[in-house]
Amino acid sequence: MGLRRRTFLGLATAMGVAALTGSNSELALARDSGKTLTFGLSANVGNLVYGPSRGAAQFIVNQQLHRGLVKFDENGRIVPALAESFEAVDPSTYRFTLRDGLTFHDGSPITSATVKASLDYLANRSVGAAIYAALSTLASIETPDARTVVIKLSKPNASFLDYLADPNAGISPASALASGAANWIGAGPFKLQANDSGVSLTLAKADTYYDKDNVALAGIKFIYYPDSTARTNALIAGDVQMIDFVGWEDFDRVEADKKLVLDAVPGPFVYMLFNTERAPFDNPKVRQAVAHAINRENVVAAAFYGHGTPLNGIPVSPGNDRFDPKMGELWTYDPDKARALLASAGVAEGLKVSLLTSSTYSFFRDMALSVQADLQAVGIEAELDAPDWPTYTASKNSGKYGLAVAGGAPSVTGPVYLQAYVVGAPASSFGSYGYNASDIVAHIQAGEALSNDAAARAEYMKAVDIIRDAVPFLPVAQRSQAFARSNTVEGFKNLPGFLSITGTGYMLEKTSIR
Amino acid sequence: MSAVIPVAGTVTNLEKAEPLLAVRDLTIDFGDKSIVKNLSFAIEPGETLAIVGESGSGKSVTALSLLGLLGPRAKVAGAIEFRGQNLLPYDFKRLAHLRGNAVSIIFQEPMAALNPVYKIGRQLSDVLRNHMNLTAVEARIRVLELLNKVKLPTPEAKYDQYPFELSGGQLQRVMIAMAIACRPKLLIADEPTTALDVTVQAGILDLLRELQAEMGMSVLFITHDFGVVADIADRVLVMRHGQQVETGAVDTLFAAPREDYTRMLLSAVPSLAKAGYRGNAATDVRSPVLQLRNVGVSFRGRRGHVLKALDGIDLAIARNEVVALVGESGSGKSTLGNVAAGLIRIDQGEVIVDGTPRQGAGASSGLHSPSLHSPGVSMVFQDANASLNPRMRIGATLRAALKWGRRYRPDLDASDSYIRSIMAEVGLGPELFERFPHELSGGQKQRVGIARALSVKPSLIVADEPTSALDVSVQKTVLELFRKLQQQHGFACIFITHDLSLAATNSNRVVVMNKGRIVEQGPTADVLRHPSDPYTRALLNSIPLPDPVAQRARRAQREDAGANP
Amino acid sequence: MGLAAYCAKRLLVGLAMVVCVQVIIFLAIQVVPGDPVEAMMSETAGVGPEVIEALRQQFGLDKPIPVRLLDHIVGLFRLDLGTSLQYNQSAFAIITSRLAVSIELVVLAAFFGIVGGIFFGSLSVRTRWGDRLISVCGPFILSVPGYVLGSVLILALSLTLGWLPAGGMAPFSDPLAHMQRLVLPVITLALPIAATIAKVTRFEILEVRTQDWVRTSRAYGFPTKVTFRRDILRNALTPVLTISALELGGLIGATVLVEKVFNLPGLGSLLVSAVGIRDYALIQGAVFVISTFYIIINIAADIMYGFLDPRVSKR
Repeated sequence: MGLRRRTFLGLATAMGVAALTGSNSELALARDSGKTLTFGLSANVGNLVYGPSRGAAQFIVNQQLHRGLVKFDENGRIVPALAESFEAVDPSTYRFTLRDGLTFHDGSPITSATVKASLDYLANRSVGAAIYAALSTLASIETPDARTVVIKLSKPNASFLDYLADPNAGISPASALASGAANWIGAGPFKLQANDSGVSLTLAKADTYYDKDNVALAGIKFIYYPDSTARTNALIAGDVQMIDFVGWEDFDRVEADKKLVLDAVPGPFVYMLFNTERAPFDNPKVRQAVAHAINRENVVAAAFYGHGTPLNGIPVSPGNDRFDPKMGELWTYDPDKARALLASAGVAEGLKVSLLTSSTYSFFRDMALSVQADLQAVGIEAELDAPDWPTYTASKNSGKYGLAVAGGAPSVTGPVYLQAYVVGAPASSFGSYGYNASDIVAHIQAGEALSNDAAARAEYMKAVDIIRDAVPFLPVAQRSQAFARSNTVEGFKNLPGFLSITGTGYMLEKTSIR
Repeated sequence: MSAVIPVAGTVTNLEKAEPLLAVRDLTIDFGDKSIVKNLSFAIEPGETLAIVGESGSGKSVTALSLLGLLGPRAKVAGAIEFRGQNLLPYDFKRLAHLRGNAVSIIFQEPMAALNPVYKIGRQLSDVLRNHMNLTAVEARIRVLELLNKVKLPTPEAKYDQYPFELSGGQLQRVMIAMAIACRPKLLIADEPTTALDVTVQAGILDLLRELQAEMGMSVLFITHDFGVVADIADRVLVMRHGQQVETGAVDTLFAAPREDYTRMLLSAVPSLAKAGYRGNAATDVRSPVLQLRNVGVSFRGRRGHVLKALDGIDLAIARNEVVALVGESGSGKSTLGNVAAGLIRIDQGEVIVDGTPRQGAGASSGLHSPSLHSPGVSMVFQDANASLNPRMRIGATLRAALKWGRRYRPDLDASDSYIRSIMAEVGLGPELFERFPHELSGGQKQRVGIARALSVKPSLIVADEPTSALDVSVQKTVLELFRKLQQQHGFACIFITHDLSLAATNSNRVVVMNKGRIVEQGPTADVLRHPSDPYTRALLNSIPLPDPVAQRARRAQREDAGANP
Repeated sequence: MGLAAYCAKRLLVGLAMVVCVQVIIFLAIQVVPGDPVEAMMSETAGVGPEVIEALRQQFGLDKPIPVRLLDHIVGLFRLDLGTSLQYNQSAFAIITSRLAVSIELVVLAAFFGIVGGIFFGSLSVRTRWGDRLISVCGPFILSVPGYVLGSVLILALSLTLGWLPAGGMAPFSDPLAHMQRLVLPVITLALPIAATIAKVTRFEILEVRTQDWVRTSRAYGFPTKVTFRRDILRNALTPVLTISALELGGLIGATVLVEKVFNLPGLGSLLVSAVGIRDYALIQGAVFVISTFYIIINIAADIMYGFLDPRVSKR
């Protein structure tokens, strides 16, 4: 509780807490740690929808209300969740054994049939599920008994478990499996207590959760703060105890406050896209030239106030054995080389291209400005096109650009994530327009089929070698992704890498308040 | 101070030596400017004193000073003794008790003097309840009594009406009701009939006389109109430049004015009786400058209500001819002037100017047709001040009119030398060429207006009440100038006026209008001496004669007529 | 024309205007590039055209524009604004939940702005220090943008002094916390209005003060206070009302930034974010509510106008 708040405010909050914990006050009293965490969340999650991705804020809420077969632990590893155990029979067959006596918050039981229904629903194209990419190869789901689920894929996918740990892949009751249905009842550690639409969301610890004894908090109150400055202000003023997605411009302000802790990790990355259907970026040499022309340090400084990591190759997940460190060392900042490449590609000085970015996010715009200066240094005149997000998306998907700035937050940690970025638009909306990546995809698929990490790594390396020369997309920098909290909040950890977005929400069930 | 001359029937308390109001050495300064200097006068109980003077003479300031209404900038010195008690220096608490109670006041513009957002009844009962301890019901009864007393028709209905729903005369009656509400000893009337039509004026003056007689109050009457003075005053005080010029009983002063200034004022008063009528003009009636045939103009009100401003007007005006349009406000005379000048679109009939059809049959039609305006007609407006652009120098104003005129008549000369010659012709010195309107006097401004109208060599000038905003002495010279110019240039002229005596001295022909129609027209002398229409007769009878004896005789005649209908 | 008939006529015209605005906005957002489904799926990996198309069909976005327009207008009369894609919720429900905050903000800000403005405007005419206050503070307040004012207030009163929360909203069920959270945003919104109204009030009072009926009021011995209230302020209020109605209209726009700075879940920020993701149902719904609000304010102002100035209603 913030010290600066006036007594009656504190009193009001305390009364609120008492009311909140009333239902299981005995338990809370017994363990003496049953406090409610107030969390300033970066977006209004609306009415939860099952399947599609609705952004990082909804991931965090999903991870409190819902639980899938597996989840990430504090080291970023896949661990059992609703499944008591799992086993990769081969890279395309997975067997899960459910825990005994699982129920949703409303007490209805969870069986293998429930799991099958959920996954079948997510495999439906018209749901637009976040993990549709993985489930599009679903061959069959077998339920030999009430606690066993066997999933068969038509193609091997070594990262399939990562997808099942996705925040949007929790197991949901039948009532949530329809378009427009609300998805508030789950199997997660917290249940919905109050929804003050547009303002806040109050969750209380769920007695139905399989691991309830290890849940420290009595509840979580998410308060929506869409504006990043307002969110940081709320934390500093003591209105909330924790916030997600700290604005880069606010890092110093939070760090200067001794009662606050800033937890920043290298998170999602930003990259460049090329329209490979049109000159000049149909020529790989020109794309390579851009790879050598961009000063990544400048991008980090301009777009993220210095809070980020330059990328000279593809982003790799720490601690994942399927990556080779060499994959992160593909291109260097070398304007002379860039100019030479341009000359050998026959591109004249003063080439004019359009550079698509979006005005909706300031870091998109700042990155584009930084890139624009770098390109000018090697003789490319980039003209900025900065519409709002939907227009940007439409232009990107329909190839109305020469160069484009983009952002990526892969939901899986393994190299298979590359597939979404190398495959060209419109087939994959993350990729360069018109790029044909069948050779890269072939190597990735081959890698996915191998269960031996070393052998797979070699196969992935072949894919990355092609990426080095063909530059289907150009990673530029990994941005710092930060949570900030009062120093009374303990047991929380921001998972590094891509998991900062998709995995960190799992950490709240272990969080406590001193 | 001269002795009080009693007038039959008005003085009730002759023995009482002490005057009701005694003003001694009243001096009023606004900053460095001295507006009233050492003015002394007294008003006896039941007596009516008229203070007469031209604008700027300080007569209204004197009236307002009696109740301390001049505002903080005015420095008032001397003595104002009301019932023996000196009001100076002002004690505003005591004044608040006096105001509207023992001394009340009525103003020139009744429409402006009443708050537009409150009903008549409320405004009157507020005054009553401000000075008397009355319940709302009692106040209402009193108010209705008062409204009856001032002879306001349908007082019950008027009680719940707003000022804008009443006519000027009705509003002045409301003001009088307000003034007599608390039975004042002294009523100050500051030009109470100046803004009203003559027939309405006569009624208001009669009402004031009646109430005065009935209630025995004294009246201080401020006016510039000697006709009104002759009608109402027992005693007269003539003021000029803040000082007394002359004072005396009304009969004496009119019969034998001692001072030149008084004589000048009296001689400047336009009078029908003494009017030197203008004869017929030497004209050729077969080729009129302006011809109106069966002209009608209607204005559409908000609720589909149609007001016929002009109805079936037939009129022809020839060169050299001055035609006076006379009538009361709302008679349509200004509308007719605007039709002649091409400022208003007609609904029926024809307008032919200089032989060219401008409106109606034969005129090129179509909305905003430029043919509406004819280059041969120019206009002199009533409010010279408002008709001049305050940011334009006089020379530029005249040049602008000429430049506009050259669009139709390229032969017009817009050179500075021509402008200066026109200015000289209307008696404006060349030094005024570079001046701004605010640096000119009222008379000079109206001369600019005349110069502007004249400069485009019109065949017809429409002069809409050109002198009604001017003092009588100025009015006289401006009209003389206008007459001279008219005879020199020979343009035809429509002279719009509410003042029949002005029509008498300044027109060849007179057209009497009432409610949008022409009720009578003919050679001026014929119409005004031997009116055939009852309306014209009523109009003529309402004009106060600037001769107290004649006026008294006429009133007696009118009262007899009223007594035995 | 009776007041009821007048109101009915104005409401009918207002309704037609609301529908016109809806049609214009509907067509305008179709013309603007960017597709709601594409925008919504822009952060989901491996999304190809077949997924986008399937979703468009599911949300009925594949139907021809005239059909969707007609559906929308028909829905409007049943108060069915459609479903927000972003929030997976009926747009009507979202808007009504946001509307309370916006209305509360606008009403409180308008009330304090107008009443405060009239008070300080009157004060500036009647006292010397009031005059100084208006001439010094007025231009200052008006020259500072709302979000700057808001940010300064947060910095001073919340972050430094800790007297008030930095933003956010508390439910009505907790009135104290609720009012506390409204204090700063209402001040931020009301100050510029108060400054404008004070200026207009001052100007109008000085204007009315020279009118003849004020002299009449003094000439009939009314106490200064009565004259001021009855014959000056009352008449000065008519034009102040006009300006107030205009200010009230502008207030909806001003709330967008204040909602952002103070993290208030109001209609303005909802509309801005809805446009940012092409959430058609929310855009249409928010515009519907805002245009209805404008029209009601205007009708109310006209009726008030007639009430304050009888010449308007009687003619």
